[in-house]
Amino acid sequence: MRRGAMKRWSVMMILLLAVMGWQACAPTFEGKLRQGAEIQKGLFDVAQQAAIGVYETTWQVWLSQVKAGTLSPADYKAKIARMDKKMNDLAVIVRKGKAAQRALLDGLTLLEKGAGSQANLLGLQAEFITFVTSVVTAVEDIRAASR
Amino acid sequence: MGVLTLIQAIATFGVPLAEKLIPPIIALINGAQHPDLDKPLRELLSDVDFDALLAASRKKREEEEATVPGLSAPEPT
Repeated sequence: MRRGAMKRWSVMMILLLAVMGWQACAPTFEGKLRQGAEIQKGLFDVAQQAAIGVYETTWQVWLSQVKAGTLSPADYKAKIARMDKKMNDLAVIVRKGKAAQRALLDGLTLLEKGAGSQANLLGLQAEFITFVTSVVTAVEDIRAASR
Repeated sequence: MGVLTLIQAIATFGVPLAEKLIPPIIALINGAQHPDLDKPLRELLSDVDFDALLAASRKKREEEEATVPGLSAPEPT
């Protein structure tokens, strides 16, 4: 009898812990993912704008050097060609990043409707983070090439 | 022993459990949504059109290049 009571007690405790765990994690998991997605969106947008800003400032500086006669037109064209190549590569990364972001938000929508899995969402989030990081790295690369 | 364990269990699990379960249950009864889930997800999509910004910057560059001697001439093919 005592042994049976202990078993029931243990089962009840496990169930209580499971409910607490579900309650503590499940409703906030989507919220946490949303917060993460918001932060990543901000970083992603800022990185894209920074890349355009660096590109524009750089060609303006180089063009003023050509006008001042401190940079030859041939050197200018060579530098612009290299910069354009980097920007084209970055455009590809940005497009892939946007696709990853869309996949993440679609997954999050499904999860909020009760479908999909948390593990899948974490994978999608990790993929998007990879692209955001790639964009930030590319901006640094473009900034270094502008010097 | 059994009563003491029960009191300890209620103190340990019952109070936090009630704190966790009661507000969402009341919110659900009232038809409320989790506060974090109010914002539409499409608002979280990137709204920077990188390709358009890059194309605009390139166009601007080409227009300025056209005014600079030595750059305005078409490149030899």
